[in-house]
Amino acid sequence: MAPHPEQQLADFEAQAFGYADQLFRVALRLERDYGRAEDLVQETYLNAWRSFHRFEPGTNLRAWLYRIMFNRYYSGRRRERLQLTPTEETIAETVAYDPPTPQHVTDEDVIAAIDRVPREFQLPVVLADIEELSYKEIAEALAIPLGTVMSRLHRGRKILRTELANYARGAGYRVVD
Amino acid sequence: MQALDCRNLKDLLDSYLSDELSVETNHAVLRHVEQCPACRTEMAARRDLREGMRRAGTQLRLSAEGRERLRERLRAEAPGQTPAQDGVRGSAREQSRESFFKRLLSDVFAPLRGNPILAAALTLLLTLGLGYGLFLFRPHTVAAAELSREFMSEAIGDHDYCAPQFRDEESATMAEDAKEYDPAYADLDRIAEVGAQGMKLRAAHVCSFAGRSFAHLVYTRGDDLISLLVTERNAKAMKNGVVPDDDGLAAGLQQEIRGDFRVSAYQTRRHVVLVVTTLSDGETKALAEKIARPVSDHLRNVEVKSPQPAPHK
Repeated sequence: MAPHPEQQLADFEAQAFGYADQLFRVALRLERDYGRAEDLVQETYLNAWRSFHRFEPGTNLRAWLYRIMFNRYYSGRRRERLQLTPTEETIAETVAYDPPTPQHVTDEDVIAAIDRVPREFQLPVVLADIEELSYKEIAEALAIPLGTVMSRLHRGRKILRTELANYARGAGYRVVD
Repeated sequence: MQALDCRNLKDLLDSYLSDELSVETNHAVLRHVEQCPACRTEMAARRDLREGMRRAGTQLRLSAEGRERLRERLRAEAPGQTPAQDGVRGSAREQSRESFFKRLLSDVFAPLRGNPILAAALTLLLTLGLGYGLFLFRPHTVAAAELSREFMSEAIGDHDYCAPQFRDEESATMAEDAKEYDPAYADLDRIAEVGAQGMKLRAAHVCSFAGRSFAHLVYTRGDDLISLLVTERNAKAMKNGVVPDDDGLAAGLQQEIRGDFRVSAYQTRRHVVLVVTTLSDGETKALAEKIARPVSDHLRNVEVKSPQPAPHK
């Protein structure tokens, strides 16, 4: 006999609500607005609840929730989703130089530096290094191959270190010519 | 697993910290770090950075009210449930502000019952503060082509750090290699020349601030320093993170005031042209009309002729 709907909902909440804070943080990064981020999280949970019967117990609920959220966010933004593919120039910028990781940086510098990493690299870095998803979970969440996750993390972390090194040098100013 | 050199190690360090390496590779990392002080330092620095990111990045949480609204929306949706009461269900945007202030007010005023003078004084302070807060965070819709705060900071930063170093240069012409950077950057000094009468060009080069590259013309007029900056119009420059088509809206002037600095910006399909000064709003706007507008008109022409994105070093 199928469990009572009320019991089902209680199960869903018990399993899924633990991720609400981290989904909200990532939603805020996408939406840049508290109200819209909260709406996105609500809609993610509603969608997840509606298809919860299709969710296979034992597979990764957290990655599944993220995937629903990214799908939802990018469904109305085809152009932006295309930009999730790294451009030639962001790649070229990142391969050249890897400065030593600066020590004694403030949390504000860290936050600002993360914000400066282009989104296609920023999302994997945030998911791995702040929200502590495994590489495999990130691949599921963003629906990209594991190898792509690893190369984006590699570049994203390098950009982050370079940005921090710029702060650490003071103004981050240099004349190119 | 053979021994790692320092370069291999640097590539593996982050995956080591994420616990994503095989047992063998993990050991190889540890063996290298044991005998290499430089990599030990780098590992410690990356570990600190990771901890800093987590500390700084996880402070935000969905509010208790947000969690409650989420629960209510789910309950309203679930079959066999009584619908949520009015005023609880619905979009977060409609409610978060009100409930936050309600909670704030009740928290603040609870200890003050029986002390009307203090309560009145606090009401006054709170009203003023609230007014100022609402003024600061007054809602405004993001126009499609609105430039981001970070972007404006980069432009101001470049002006502030770079321009003063060239104040006393005799004269300048655009550096030859600027056009290698972006073909559209060639001749910018000559394009701006007509509008720049009464101003002295002190530098013309490509420079970068906080990761963003600018074609930078530094002018003086009396004691005032004026920067004309041209840079790439990419997603990071735009407030909503998307580069909209150059829809004519972008042809208008966007102005920004930050401390002593005034910025006026024009956009084309691929570039943003800015004037940064410490002059008044009106003067900055007038200068932008004179020097930035011809440059943006010129760039529009160049962009039409060469539809490919600019080569970028």
